[in-house]
Amino acid sequence: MRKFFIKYVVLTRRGIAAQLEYRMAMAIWILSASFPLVMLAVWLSLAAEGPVGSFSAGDFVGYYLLSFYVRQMTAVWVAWELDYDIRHGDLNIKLLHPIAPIHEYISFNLADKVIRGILFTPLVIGVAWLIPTIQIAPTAANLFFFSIALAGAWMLRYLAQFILGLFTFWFSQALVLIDIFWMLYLLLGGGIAPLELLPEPLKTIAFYLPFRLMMSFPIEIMMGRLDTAEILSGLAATMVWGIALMGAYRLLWARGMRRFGAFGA
Amino acid sequence: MRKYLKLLGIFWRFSILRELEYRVNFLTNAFMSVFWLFWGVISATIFFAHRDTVGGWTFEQVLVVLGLYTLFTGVMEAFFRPNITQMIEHVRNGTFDFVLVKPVDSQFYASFHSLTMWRLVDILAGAALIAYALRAMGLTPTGGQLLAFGLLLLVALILIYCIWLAMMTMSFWFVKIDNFAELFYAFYETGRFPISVYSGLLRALLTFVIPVAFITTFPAAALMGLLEPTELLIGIVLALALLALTNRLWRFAVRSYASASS
Repeated sequence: MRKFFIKYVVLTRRGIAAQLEYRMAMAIWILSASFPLVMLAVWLSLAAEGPVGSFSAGDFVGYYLLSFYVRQMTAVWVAWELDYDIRHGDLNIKLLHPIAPIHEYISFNLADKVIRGILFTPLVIGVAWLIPTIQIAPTAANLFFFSIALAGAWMLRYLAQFILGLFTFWFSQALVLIDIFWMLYLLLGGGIAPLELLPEPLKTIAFYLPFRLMMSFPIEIMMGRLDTAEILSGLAATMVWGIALMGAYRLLWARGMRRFGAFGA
Repeated sequence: MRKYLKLLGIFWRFSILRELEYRVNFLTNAFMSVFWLFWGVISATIFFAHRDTVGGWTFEQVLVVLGLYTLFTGVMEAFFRPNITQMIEHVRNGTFDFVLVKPVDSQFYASFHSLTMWRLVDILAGAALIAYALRAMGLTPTGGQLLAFGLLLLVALILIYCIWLAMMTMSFWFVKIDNFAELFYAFYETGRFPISVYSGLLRALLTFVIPVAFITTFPAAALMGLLEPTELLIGIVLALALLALTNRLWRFAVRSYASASS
């Protein structure tokens, strides 16, 4: 266990160094994530005539600021890495390392999260502090549950994308699945609108699918819209989905390895 | 001029032939383009579930804007994206020298010699959405409106070309950055909705500096008879000015280009 932990730390540090190499490219990826701001602008234009459902202008600002933060802190691109590594055979090199490849991919992502955390946590706090009309509820309990839910959101997004990326073992167009996933994530996870504002039946569907847990759930906590029972049931749901996805990962990885060996790469 | 048209024909035929080798790729991507279009329409209905108009535009009017957004996404991805990608490769590997020694204008060659055919599906899908929205409104544009629309489409094409050319030119100086083009999409994303949604500084920025308004909102307005004549005039002036400006920028960059090894 200790050895495993040390490996992780080393890999993550390597990841940070590697990402700082490409800091300009990274800056552009971050800056180009304007979607939450565009949605905020549109909702604000609607909220100018009065609140939309239970959302005032201040609520929208809070919601999309948090949405920006949650999306930055849960950003995942492992499907593209897998796609590249499987097709070019770079996965072979990772298979030789004394740690399962998924951990190597995860540590690279964690490195990115360290950088983004240092960059965006003060930024988001600063913006929230500068806008007095913003509606958020940063109590100690909410902050605590928010951090757990955020980690859960990252885990679900990561596992889901990893699993979809593994389909590259079987067909070359697997990245199309990521596109479809992304559409559902934005629509049913709360990217376009807070889930409360979705028309039926989308609203009910969204409540039962894991996309909510990947974006909307931590935001709802931080906005003070959930009571303790709702928070705990959300965290439990995150855990259940997490276990299910881990099972799916193990199964697909084992089969994928057999397949990968079979093409003699 | 005729020589250049002929060359364009050769470039594109070659690109298409190369892509026809990957037919499954073509089909899945065409399917995804249509999917994204539906996604855009569904997203728009969410806003209209709460209000009758967004930025003073009705649902069908916003669909025309969305149609133009999709159409020009197709234009950018089909005609400009493959070329900027190659341009960056050329500059990085020093093979841009081979472009410079060809007996054609370097700006023409660098801007137009590749095409991603399957992205043309976006252009068709966008046009279909516009036609559908017009029918749903029972609107038949008059000759004058069509003329204004045509002119603004041309303005939009020129503006988009200028923006991509400027980004391509930047790759001379920022060799390491291969995702430069993504930055424009951050602003282009706003083009899903009419410009009247955005307020103050942002609206001015999107009209005059990064003229997304002239790409989606104003052509849509022209088609539905909502356009102010001055907007057309400003668009034409803006397009011509940017064309001259970016051409000079390109020439300046080529002159100061020092190849890879020197």
